[in-house]
Amino acid sequence: MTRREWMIATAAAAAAASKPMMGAAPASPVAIAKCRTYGPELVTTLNTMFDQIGGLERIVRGKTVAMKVNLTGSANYRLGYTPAELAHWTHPAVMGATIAAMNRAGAKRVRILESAWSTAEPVEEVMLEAGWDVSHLLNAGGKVEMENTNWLGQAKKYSSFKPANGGHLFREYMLNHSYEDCDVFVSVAKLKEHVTTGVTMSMKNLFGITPCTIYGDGVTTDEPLIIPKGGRGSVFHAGKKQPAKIAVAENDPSSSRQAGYRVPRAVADLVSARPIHLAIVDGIATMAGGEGPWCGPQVKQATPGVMIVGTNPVCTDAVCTALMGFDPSADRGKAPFETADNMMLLAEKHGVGTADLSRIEVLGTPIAAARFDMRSFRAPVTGNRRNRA
Amino acid sequence: MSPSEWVPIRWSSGPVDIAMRKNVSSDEKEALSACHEPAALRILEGSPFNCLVISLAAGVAEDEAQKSTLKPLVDAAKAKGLAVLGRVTGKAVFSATQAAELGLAGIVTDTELLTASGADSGITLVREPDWPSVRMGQGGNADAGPTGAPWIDSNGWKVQLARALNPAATVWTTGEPKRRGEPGGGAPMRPDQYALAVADAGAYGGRWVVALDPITQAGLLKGSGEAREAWSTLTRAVKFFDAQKDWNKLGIMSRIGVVSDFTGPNEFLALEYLNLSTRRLLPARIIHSAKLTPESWHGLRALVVIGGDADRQLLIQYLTNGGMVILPPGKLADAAKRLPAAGTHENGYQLYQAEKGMVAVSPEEWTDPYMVAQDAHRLLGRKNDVVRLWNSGSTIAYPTANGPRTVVHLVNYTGRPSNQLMTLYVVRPHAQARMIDLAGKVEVLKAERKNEGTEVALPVFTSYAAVEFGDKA
Repeated sequence: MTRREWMIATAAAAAAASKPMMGAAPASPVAIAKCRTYGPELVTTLNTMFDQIGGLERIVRGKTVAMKVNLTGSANYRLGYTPAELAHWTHPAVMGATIAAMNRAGAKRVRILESAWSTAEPVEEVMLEAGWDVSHLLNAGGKVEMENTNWLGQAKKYSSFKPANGGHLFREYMLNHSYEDCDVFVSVAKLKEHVTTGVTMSMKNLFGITPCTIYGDGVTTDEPLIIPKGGRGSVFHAGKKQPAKIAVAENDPSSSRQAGYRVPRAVADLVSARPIHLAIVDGIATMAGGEGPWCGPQVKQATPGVMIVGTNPVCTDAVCTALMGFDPSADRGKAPFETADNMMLLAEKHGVGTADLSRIEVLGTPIAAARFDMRSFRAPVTGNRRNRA
Repeated sequence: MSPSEWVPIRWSSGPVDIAMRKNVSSDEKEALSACHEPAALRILEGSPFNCLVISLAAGVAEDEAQKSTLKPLVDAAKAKGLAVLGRVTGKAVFSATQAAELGLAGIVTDTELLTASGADSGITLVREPDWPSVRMGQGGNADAGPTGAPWIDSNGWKVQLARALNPAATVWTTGEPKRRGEPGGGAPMRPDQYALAVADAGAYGGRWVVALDPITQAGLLKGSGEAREAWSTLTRAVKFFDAQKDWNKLGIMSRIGVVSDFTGPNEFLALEYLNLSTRRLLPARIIHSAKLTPESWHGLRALVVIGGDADRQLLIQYLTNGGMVILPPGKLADAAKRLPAAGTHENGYQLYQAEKGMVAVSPEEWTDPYMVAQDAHRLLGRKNDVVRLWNSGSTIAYPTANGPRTVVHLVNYTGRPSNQLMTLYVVRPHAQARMIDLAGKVEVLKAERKNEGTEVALPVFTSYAAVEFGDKA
């Protein structure tokens, strides 16, 4: 059995182990826990949550684990004076506690992956630039590696991934080898609103697995760039151009060029093409009003004090959406999807998982007891554009 | 008064300046004529300026008229105790002896200051000075540099280079406000743009030869409020740096050095390396290849060698002590290839072990200074960053230190209040910090220990602020 065959088989097994309704997308339990700080309580909280969803050992023992984290934007950016990990980046303590737990559960190695903003520099360097002490992560337990997946990286060629049903936006995505060279794929995301897709958690985190050498603004020729430059706005958000020729062109060039149409479809495709085995969402300290400090005057640091863990990204994100005070089944036009299609419903169509809360078993703290209304926590817009501390 | 004590101001006046200005307005023409009269010197009363740099010749037909009408202005200036220098530009040829005959203390060309007495002035001019700003492109948008960040025109690295190559000299920059027809030119400079121009030299230990735009100059003669505000801001900035001269005794904080002769075939790459590494907040100690000594590299983790004339034995000595030498292909690299190979760095550089040290050889010729600076930064590793500045935008940090003192100069090249809250990190541990702006306002900051260094949240500032750290924790 090849690694790819194993990957598909385990995803199918995970789906079968959940509680499918006839013809419906699978459902899996999601654990919620209140956690106020990134101190020692985080370790015990996460360990309890992993146990609640059936234990880590069955997922990671003897396996190479790839852990996609969310380090969106430049490391030079802060929300006012607030360090990135307390606003828009996955906190290193969450990564460290997860690595330690995986090591105890028998993981062979853990690879931290991120497509760092507009650079091919190692992820370690990006973390150092943000002011982190990287040794805490590298020494969190067992064999820990990192790779910047925004370019070809350590491989000789890109890997091909195909979403179900021929894909909403593309029928094939070309990614860094790290997303193929792993047995288990984990999305370690942040609980945030998003100006394009309404919300961002474990699913939207995968938007950043697309390498900007192929899908980036700086692509000007048929060939992939060697070094990534800029973001993904031209190809994904606006559809102003197609990716480098190494990747296929989008399915329907006459489709909408609105970001609210395109980005949710790309996300749904990606979570179908590169299945997530474990979704971990950091909602201890985050931000309201958008996904990063650049999102406008409404952004504000927030401390919901909650962690969310599940094995199905759609179910996990549906619970996260509800925790932020929104209806995860809402159609376009209703909060938080006023200007975007609901990426969870799009992923449902690919059979990834259900966003129907009535079908999702919530473990630990009930949603109502941990709800944090993001919209009401946004900063008032007064015309002062200086960002908030 | 020795030349090192001169506080200069460029005094535009008379026929040459009128001829050199394109599309000069009647108001400006009137002001340039009025400034040629001794009475105009009243503007300088109460100011810190004690040295007038007047237009002498520009290689134009009006040179003779300028020369023949200068005497009253020169005499009046000297009577007020001002040193008077003649500015010679373009194709004009003028000797220091001729300047002496006109009663001038010397002449200032584009490249040097010559005293009338023939004595060494002790003043070095920055070559091809810029007007400090965020470069504006067509349509008024900021031009982006190779990082995607706004391109900044700065003299800071040029002042550093001039000081490093001439440690005993006083360094002057002679940039002038952009003129009509240039992007961003033609309008009167805002007060904070003048403060920025003063800081762009002063922060790095140099001195800007203050030059007013024509509208501000005319406004000062007429007593306009805007011009007086600009003048007040400008003179306050000049006084600020004069009061902080002891900061110039602090050396640049750095863990990487650039070794080069900075001339000939090495000039472009070496100079642009300095420009772009400064922008990356990767401050570099500048070492002339002829002055490479153990003292010159003390405390440095890496040397970028641009040009092949560095002494090989000295480099070996540096390597023996555990340093890293970063090289392009060439003779030195060929010699390094006889050392034991130590693998390939992720940026493609071949590594060779040399005693405790390491030689890193580029896989290809160095042609792009941005890539050289980026590769050097990656080889050194961000764990060796001495300074970090979050939400820096168009602000450059210049960290200096000596003994227990650390001063980080922050120059905001927008010349406007930053619209982002910035946080500063320096690698040295300190218990106390305070921020000082050009108005002399002092704010005590909370110094927070972070990793091996200190982090402070910065209040909003406009063109310049210094953060002074003390009391080592």
